Amino acid sequence: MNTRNRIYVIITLSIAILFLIIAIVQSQIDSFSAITKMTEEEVKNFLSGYLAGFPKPWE
Amino acid sequence: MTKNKEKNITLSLRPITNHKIRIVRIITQLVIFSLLNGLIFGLARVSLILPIEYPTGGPFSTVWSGFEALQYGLTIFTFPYLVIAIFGLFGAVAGKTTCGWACPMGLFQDLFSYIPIKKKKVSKPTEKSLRSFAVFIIIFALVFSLVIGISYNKNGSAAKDAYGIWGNIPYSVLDPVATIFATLFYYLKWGIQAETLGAEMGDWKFWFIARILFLAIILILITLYPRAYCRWFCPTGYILGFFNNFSLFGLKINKNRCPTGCNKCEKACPVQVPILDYDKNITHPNCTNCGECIDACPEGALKIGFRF
Repeated sequence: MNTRNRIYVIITLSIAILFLIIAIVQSQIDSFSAITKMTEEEVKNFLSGYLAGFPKPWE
Repeated sequence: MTKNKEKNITLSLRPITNHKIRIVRIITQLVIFSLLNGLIFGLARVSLILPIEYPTGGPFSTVWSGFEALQYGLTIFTFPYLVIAIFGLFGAVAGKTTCGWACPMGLFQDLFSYIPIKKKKVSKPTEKSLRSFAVFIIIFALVFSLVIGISYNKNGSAAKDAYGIWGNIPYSVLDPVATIFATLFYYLKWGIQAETLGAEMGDWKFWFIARILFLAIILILITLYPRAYCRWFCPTGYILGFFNNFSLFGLKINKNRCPTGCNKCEKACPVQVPILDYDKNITHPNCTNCGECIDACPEGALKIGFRF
Protein backbone atom coordinates (compact mmCIF):
# COMPACT_ATOMS: atom_id res chain seq x y z
CA MET A 1 0.00 0.00 0.00
CA ASN A 2 1.43 3.37 -1.00
CA THR A 3 1.34 6.60 1.00
CA ARG A 4 -1.60 8.03 -0.96
CA ASN A 5 -3.73 4.98 -0.12
CA ARG A 6 -2.67 5.18 3.54
CA ILE A 7 -3.87 8.78 3.62
CA TYR A 8 -7.19 7.72 2.01
CA VAL A 9 -7.63 4.99 4.67
CA ILE A 10 -6.89 7.40 7.51
CA ILE A 11 -9.27 10.08 6.15
CA THR A 12 -12.06 7.54 5.52
CA LEU A 13 -11.70 6.01 8.97
CA SER A 14 -11.61 9.46 10.61
CA ILE A 15 -14.81 10.58 8.87
CA ALA A 16 -16.49 7.24 9.64
CA ILE A 17 -15.59 7.41 13.34
CA LEU A 18 -16.68 11.06 13.52
CA PHE A 19 -20.05 10.22 11.92
CA LEU A 20 -20.41 7.22 14.23
CA ILE A 21 -19.92 9.46 17.27
CA ILE A 22 -22.41 12.01 15.87
CA ALA A 23 -24.95 9.19 15.27
CA ILE A 24 -24.50 7.85 18.83
CA VAL A 25 -24.86 11.32 20.37
CA GLN A 26 -27.93 12.01 18.21
CA SER A 27 -29.58 8.76 19.34
CA GLN A 28 -28.82 9.69 22.97
CA ILE A 29 -30.43 13.11 22.43
CA ASP A 30 -33.51 11.40 20.94
CA SER A 31 -33.70 8.96 23.87
CA PHE A 32 -33.33 11.82 26.36
CA SER A 33 -36.08 13.87 24.71
CA ALA A 34 -38.34 10.76 24.70
CA ILE A 35 -37.74 10.23 28.43
CA THR A 36 -38.29 13.88 29.34
CA LYS A 37 -41.63 13.90 27.49
CA MET A 38 -42.92 10.93 29.52
CA THR A 39 -45.93 11.34 31.78
CA GLU A 40 -45.79 10.41 35.47
CA GLU A 41 -47.53 7.11 34.75
CA GLU A 42 -45.15 6.24 31.88
CA VAL A 43 -42.15 6.98 34.11
CA LYS A 44 -43.55 4.64 36.78
CA ASN A 45 -44.02 1.88 34.17
CA PHE A 46 -40.54 2.53 32.78
CA LEU A 47 -38.96 2.26 36.22
CA SER A 48 -41.05 -0.68 37.44
CA GLY A 49 -38.27 -3.06 36.43
CA TYR A 50 -35.87 -1.49 38.94
CA LEU A 51 -38.32 -2.02 41.79
CA ALA A 52 -39.39 -5.55 40.86
CA GLY A 53 -39.16 -7.91 43.82
CA PHE A 54 -38.63 -5.18 46.41
CA PRO A 55 -41.19 -4.45 49.15
CA LYS A 56 -43.17 -1.24 48.60
CA PRO A 57 -44.09 0.01 52.12
CA TRP A 58 -45.58 3.22 50.70
CA GLU A 59 -48.32 1.28 48.87
CA MET B 1 18.04 -27.94 -10.40
CA THR B 2 15.31 -29.88 -12.16
CA LYS B 3 11.85 -28.50 -12.63
CA ASN B 4 10.33 -31.02 -10.16
CA LYS B 5 12.72 -30.06 -7.39
CA GLU B 6 11.94 -26.40 -7.97
CA LYS B 7 8.24 -27.17 -7.74
CA ASN B 8 8.70 -29.13 -4.48
CA ILE B 9 10.53 -26.23 -2.85
CA THR B 10 7.81 -23.82 -3.88
CA LEU B 11 5.12 -26.18 -2.61
CA SER B 12 6.82 -26.47 0.77
CA LEU B 13 6.53 -22.70 1.14
CA ARG B 14 2.78 -22.71 0.61
CA PRO B 15 0.67 -21.65 3.58
CA ILE B 16 -1.18 -24.38 5.46
CA THR B 17 -4.55 -22.81 4.69
CA ASN B 18 -4.32 -23.65 0.99
CA HIS B 19 -7.37 -25.33 -0.49
CA LYS B 20 -9.37 -24.80 2.67
CA ILE B 21 -10.60 -21.26 2.17
CA ARG B 22 -13.74 -22.21 0.28
CA ILE B 23 -14.86 -24.56 3.09
CA VAL B 24 -14.19 -21.92 5.76
CA ARG B 25 -16.01 -19.31 3.69
CA ILE B 26 -19.12 -21.46 3.13
CA ILE B 27 -19.30 -22.28 6.86
CA THR B 28 -18.92 -18.55 7.69
CA GLN B 29 -21.64 -17.63 5.17
CA LEU B 30 -24.04 -20.22 6.63
CA VAL B 31 -23.40 -19.14 10.23
CA ILE B 32 -23.92 -15.46 9.35
CA PHE B 33 -27.04 -16.32 7.33
CA SER B 34 -28.42 -18.13 10.41
CA LEU B 35 -27.67 -15.13 12.62
CA LEU B 36 -29.29 -12.74 10.13
CA ASN B 37 -32.41 -14.93 10.31
CA GLY B 38 -32.12 -15.15 14.08
CA LEU B 39 -35.84 -14.66 14.69
CA ILE B 40 -36.25 -18.34 13.76
CA PHE B 41 -34.06 -19.28 16.73
CA GLY B 42 -35.65 -16.81 19.13
CA LEU B 43 -33.09 -14.02 18.72
CA ALA B 44 -34.41 -10.45 18.76
CA ARG B 45 -34.10 -7.73 16.15
CA VAL B 46 -31.14 -5.47 16.90
CA SER B 47 -30.41 -1.89 15.89
CA LEU B 48 -27.46 -2.93 13.79
CA ILE B 49 -26.76 -1.78 10.25
CA LEU B 50 -24.61 -4.01 8.05
CA PRO B 51 -23.37 -3.35 4.51
CA ILE B 52 -25.05 -6.44 3.06
CA GLU B 53 -27.91 -7.16 0.69
CA TYR B 54 -30.67 -8.58 2.84
CA PRO B 55 -34.18 -7.16 3.22
CA THR B 56 -34.72 -5.42 6.55
CA GLY B 57 -38.40 -6.35 6.34
CA GLY B 58 -37.59 -10.03 5.83
CA PRO B 59 -39.72 -12.41 7.90
CA PHE B 60 -36.86 -13.45 10.21
CA SER B 61 -34.43 -10.58 9.66
CA THR B 62 -32.54 -9.33 12.71
CA VAL B 63 -30.54 -6.42 11.26
CA TRP B 64 -30.85 -3.46 8.91
CA SER B 65 -29.44 -3.57 5.40
CA GLY B 66 -27.09 -0.61 4.89
CA PHE B 67 -28.48 0.55 1.55
CA GLU B 68 -32.09 0.23 2.76
CA ALA B 69 -31.25 2.21 5.89
CA LEU B 70 -29.64 4.87 3.69
CA GLN B 71 -32.82 5.21 1.62
CA TYR B 72 -35.08 5.18 4.66
CA GLY B 73 -32.98 7.86 6.36
CA LEU B 74 -33.32 10.13 3.31
CA THR B 75 -37.09 9.56 3.05
CA ILE B 76 -37.54 10.98 6.56
CA PHE B 77 -35.15 13.82 5.70
CA THR B 78 -32.40 12.96 8.17
CA PHE B 79 -28.72 12.93 7.35
CA PRO B 80 -27.70 9.24 7.48
CA TYR B 81 -24.62 9.62 9.70
CA LEU B 82 -24.73 6.05 10.97
CA VAL B 83 -25.06 4.42 7.54
CA ILE B 84 -22.19 6.48 6.12
CA ALA B 85 -20.10 5.57 9.19
CA ILE B 86 -20.87 1.86 8.75
CA PHE B 87 -20.04 1.90 5.02
CA GLY B 88 -16.85 3.89 5.74
CA LEU B 89 -15.68 1.58 8.54
CA PHE B 90 -16.43 -1.70 6.78
CA GLY B 91 -15.15 -0.35 3.45
CA ALA B 92 -11.88 1.10 4.73
CA VAL B 93 -11.08 -1.94 6.86
CA ALA B 94 -12.34 -4.87 4.79
CA GLY B 95 -13.27 -3.52 1.34
CA LYS B 96 -15.73 -5.85 -0.32
CA THR B 97 -15.02 -8.79 2.04
CA THR B 98 -18.57 -8.73 3.47
CA CYS B 99 -19.89 -9.43 -0.06
CA GLY B 100 -17.85 -12.62 -0.30
CA TRP B 101 -18.08 -13.82 3.29
CA ALA B 102 -21.29 -12.49 4.87
CA CYS B 103 -23.86 -11.39 2.30
CA PRO B 104 -26.89 -13.74 1.98
CA MET B 105 -27.32 -12.77 -1.67
CA GLY B 106 -23.67 -13.72 -2.20
CA LEU B 107 -24.36 -17.14 -0.67
CA PHE B 108 -27.44 -17.49 -2.88
CA GLN B 109 -25.38 -16.67 -5.99
CA ASP B 110 -22.63 -19.08 -4.92
CA LEU B 111 -25.23 -21.86 -4.67
CA PHE B 112 -26.43 -21.02 -8.19
CA SER B 113 -22.87 -21.15 -9.48
CA TYR B 114 -22.79 -24.89 -8.62
CA ILE B 115 -25.45 -25.59 -11.29
CA PRO B 116 -23.48 -27.64 -13.85
CA ILE B 117 -23.82 -25.31 -16.84
CA LYS B 118 -20.81 -23.95 -18.66
CA LYS B 119 -20.08 -20.52 -17.21
CA LYS B 120 -19.69 -17.57 -19.53
CA LYS B 121 -17.33 -14.62 -19.33
CA VAL B 122 -17.61 -11.07 -20.56
CA SER B 123 -14.93 -8.83 -22.02
CA LYS B 124 -13.35 -6.10 -19.89
CA PRO B 125 -15.15 -3.20 -21.63
CA THR B 126 -18.51 -5.01 -21.36
CA GLU B 127 -17.84 -5.69 -17.67
CA LYS B 128 -17.20 -1.99 -17.14
CA SER B 129 -20.33 -0.96 -19.05
CA LEU B 130 -22.54 -3.44 -17.19
CA ARG B 131 -21.41 -2.02 -13.84
CA SER B 132 -23.24 1.18 -14.75
CA PHE B 133 -26.52 -0.60 -13.89
CA ALA B 134 -25.47 -0.38 -10.23
CA VAL B 135 -24.71 3.34 -10.62
CA PHE B 136 -28.16 3.86 -12.14
CA ILE B 137 -29.80 1.95 -9.23
CA ILE B 138 -27.87 4.00 -6.65
CA ILE B 139 -28.71 7.35 -8.28
CA PHE B 140 -32.38 6.38 -8.79
CA ALA B 141 -32.82 5.14 -5.20
CA LEU B 142 -31.04 8.02 -3.49
CA VAL B 143 -32.53 10.84 -5.60
CA PHE B 144 -36.03 9.38 -5.27
CA SER B 145 -35.55 8.95 -1.50
CA LEU B 146 -34.38 12.54 -1.21
CA VAL B 147 -37.40 13.81 -3.18
CA ILE B 148 -39.70 11.87 -0.83
CA GLY B 149 -37.72 13.26 2.13
CA ILE B 150 -38.16 16.86 0.92
CA SER B 151 -41.93 16.29 0.51
CA TYR B 152 -42.04 14.74 3.99
CA ASN B 153 -40.17 17.68 5.46
CA LYS B 154 -42.57 20.20 3.86
CA ASN B 155 -45.93 18.46 4.22
CA GLY B 156 -45.50 15.75 6.87
CA SER B 157 -46.21 12.04 6.71
CA ALA B 158 -49.29 12.47 4.47
CA ALA B 159 -46.98 13.56 1.63
CA LYS B 160 -44.83 10.49 2.19
CA ASP B 161 -47.90 8.22 2.19
CA ALA B 162 -48.85 9.64 -1.21
CA TYR B 163 -45.87 7.81 -2.71
CA GLY B 164 -47.52 4.50 -1.73
CA ILE B 165 -45.29 1.45 -2.04
CA TRP B 166 -42.29 3.65 -2.92
CA GLY B 167 -42.64 5.77 0.22
CA ASN B 168 -40.23 4.07 2.64
CA ILE B 169 -37.50 2.24 0.73
CA PRO B 170 -37.90 2.96 -3.01
CA TYR B 171 -35.54 0.31 -4.40
CA SER B 172 -37.19 -2.45 -2.33
CA VAL B 173 -40.14 -2.36 -4.76
CA LEU B 174 -38.00 -3.96 -7.46
CA ASP B 175 -35.06 -5.33 -5.49
CA PRO B 176 -34.57 -9.02 -6.43
CA VAL B 177 -32.94 -9.67 -3.04
CA ALA B 178 -36.10 -8.47 -1.29
CA THR B 179 -38.16 -10.60 -3.71
CA ILE B 180 -36.23 -13.76 -2.84
CA PHE B 181 -35.93 -13.34 0.90
CA ALA B 182 -39.09 -11.38 1.80
CA THR B 183 -41.73 -10.92 -0.91
CA LEU B 184 -41.95 -14.54 -2.06
CA PHE B 185 -42.19 -15.68 1.56
CA TYR B 186 -45.06 -13.27 2.28
CA TYR B 187 -46.86 -14.15 -0.95
CA LEU B 188 -46.58 -17.86 -0.15
CA LYS B 189 -47.74 -17.24 3.42
CA TRP B 190 -50.68 -14.97 2.69
CA GLY B 191 -51.45 -15.85 -0.90
CA ILE B 192 -52.05 -13.40 -3.72
CA GLN B 193 -55.34 -11.92 -2.55
CA ALA B 194 -56.58 -8.81 -4.29
CA GLU B 195 -59.00 -8.01 -1.46
CA THR B 196 -56.48 -7.98 1.37
CA LEU B 197 -52.84 -7.83 0.40
CA GLY B 198 -53.53 -6.28 -3.01
CA ALA B 199 -55.55 -3.48 -1.51
CA GLU B 200 -52.68 -2.58 0.81
CA MET B 201 -50.11 -2.67 -1.93
CA GLY B 202 -51.86 -0.56 -4.58
CA ASP B 203 -50.88 -1.68 -8.06
CA TRP B 204 -49.69 -4.97 -6.68
CA LYS B 205 -50.30 -6.99 -9.84
CA PHE B 206 -48.09 -4.80 -12.03
CA TRP B 207 -45.28 -4.55 -9.51
CA PHE B 208 -45.53 -8.22 -8.62
CA ILE B 209 -45.05 -9.15 -12.27
CA ALA B 210 -42.30 -6.52 -12.67
CA ARG B 211 -40.30 -7.76 -9.71
CA ILE B 212 -40.73 -11.43 -10.66
CA LEU B 213 -39.52 -10.56 -14.16
CA PHE B 214 -36.49 -8.73 -12.78
CA LEU B 215 -35.78 -11.68 -10.47
CA ALA B 216 -36.04 -14.14 -13.38
CA ILE B 217 -33.50 -12.09 -15.37
CA ILE B 218 -31.16 -12.04 -12.36
CA LEU B 219 -31.54 -15.81 -11.81
CA ILE B 220 -30.67 -16.54 -15.46
CA LEU B 221 -27.70 -14.17 -15.28
CA ILE B 222 -26.29 -15.59 -12.03
CA THR B 223 -26.58 -19.12 -13.44
CA LEU B 224 -24.59 -18.20 -16.54
CA TYR B 225 -22.28 -15.53 -15.09
CA PRO B 226 -21.18 -16.27 -11.49
CA ARG B 227 -22.03 -13.45 -9.07
CA ALA B 228 -23.61 -11.38 -11.86
CA TYR B 229 -25.81 -9.48 -9.39
CA CYS B 230 -22.75 -8.58 -7.27
CA ARG B 231 -20.85 -7.38 -10.31
CA TRP B 232 -23.43 -5.40 -12.25
CA PHE B 233 -26.45 -4.56 -10.16
CA CYS B 234 -25.73 -4.59 -6.43
CA PRO B 235 -25.71 -1.02 -5.01
CA THR B 236 -24.06 -2.14 -1.75
CA GLY B 237 -21.39 -4.02 -3.68
CA TYR B 238 -20.71 -1.01 -5.88
CA ILE B 239 -20.23 1.30 -2.88
CA LEU B 240 -17.94 -1.20 -1.12
CA GLY B 241 -16.05 -1.87 -4.36
CA PHE B 242 -14.95 1.75 -4.37
CA PHE B 243 -13.13 1.15 -1.06
CA ASN B 244 -11.23 -1.84 -2.51
CA ASN B 245 -8.72 0.66 -3.91
CA PHE B 246 -7.29 1.35 -0.46
CA SER B 247 -8.86 -1.09 2.02
CA LEU B 248 -6.67 -2.43 4.83
CA PHE B 249 -7.70 -6.04 4.31
CA GLY B 250 -7.39 -7.72 0.94
CA LEU B 251 -5.59 -9.96 -1.48
CA LYS B 252 -1.88 -9.74 -2.19
CA ILE B 253 0.09 -11.35 -4.98
CA ASN B 254 3.76 -12.26 -4.76
CA LYS B 255 5.00 -12.09 -8.35
CA ASN B 256 8.27 -13.83 -7.39
CA ARG B 257 6.28 -16.97 -6.69
CA CYS B 258 4.46 -16.70 -10.00
CA PRO B 259 7.15 -17.36 -12.61
CA THR B 260 4.93 -19.16 -15.12
CA GLY B 261 1.80 -17.02 -14.94
CA CYS B 262 -0.34 -20.15 -15.38
CA ASN B 263 -3.53 -18.08 -15.14
CA LYS B 264 -5.30 -20.64 -12.90
CA CYS B 265 -6.19 -17.90 -10.43
CA GLU B 266 -7.98 -15.81 -13.07
CA LYS B 267 -9.83 -18.87 -14.34
CA ALA B 268 -10.97 -19.71 -10.80
CA CYS B 269 -12.07 -16.15 -9.97
CA PRO B 270 -15.87 -16.01 -10.03
CA VAL B 271 -15.95 -12.24 -10.65
CA GLN B 272 -13.34 -12.11 -13.46
CA VAL B 273 -10.69 -10.07 -11.69
CA PRO B 274 -7.59 -9.73 -13.92
CA ILE B 275 -5.33 -10.83 -11.03
CA LEU B 276 -2.11 -11.07 -13.04
CA ASP B 277 -2.41 -7.40 -14.08
CA TYR B 278 -1.59 -6.41 -10.48
CA ASP B 279 1.94 -6.26 -9.07
CA LYS B 280 1.23 -6.46 -5.34
CA ASN B 281 -2.20 -5.57 -3.96
CA ILE B 282 -5.31 -6.66 -5.82
CA THR B 283 -7.58 -3.64 -5.72
CA HIS B 284 -10.14 -4.45 -8.42
CA PRO B 285 -13.64 -3.21 -7.48
CA ASN B 286 -15.15 -6.64 -8.22
CA CYS B 287 -12.87 -8.56 -5.82
CA THR B 288 -14.82 -9.95 -2.85
CA ASN B 289 -11.73 -11.54 -1.21
CA CYS B 290 -13.46 -14.92 -1.56
CA GLY B 291 -10.13 -16.73 -1.78
CA GLU B 292 -10.96 -18.97 -4.77
CA CYS B 293 -7.77 -17.74 -6.44
CA ILE B 294 -5.71 -18.71 -3.37
CA ASP B 295 -7.15 -22.22 -3.50
CA ALA B 296 -6.43 -22.45 -7.22
CA CYS B 297 -2.84 -21.15 -7.19
CA PRO B 298 -0.38 -24.07 -7.34
CA GLU B 299 2.55 -21.83 -6.35
CA GLY B 300 1.10 -20.20 -3.24
CA ALA B 301 1.61 -16.76 -4.79
CA LEU B 302 -1.61 -15.28 -3.42
CA LYS B 303 -2.40 -14.40 0.16
CA ILE B 304 -5.23 -12.72 2.00
CA GLY B 305 -4.49 -10.41 4.89
CA PHE B 306 -3.80 -6.88 6.08
CA ARG B 307 -1.73 -4.71 3.75
CA PHE B 308 -1.20 -1.35 5.45
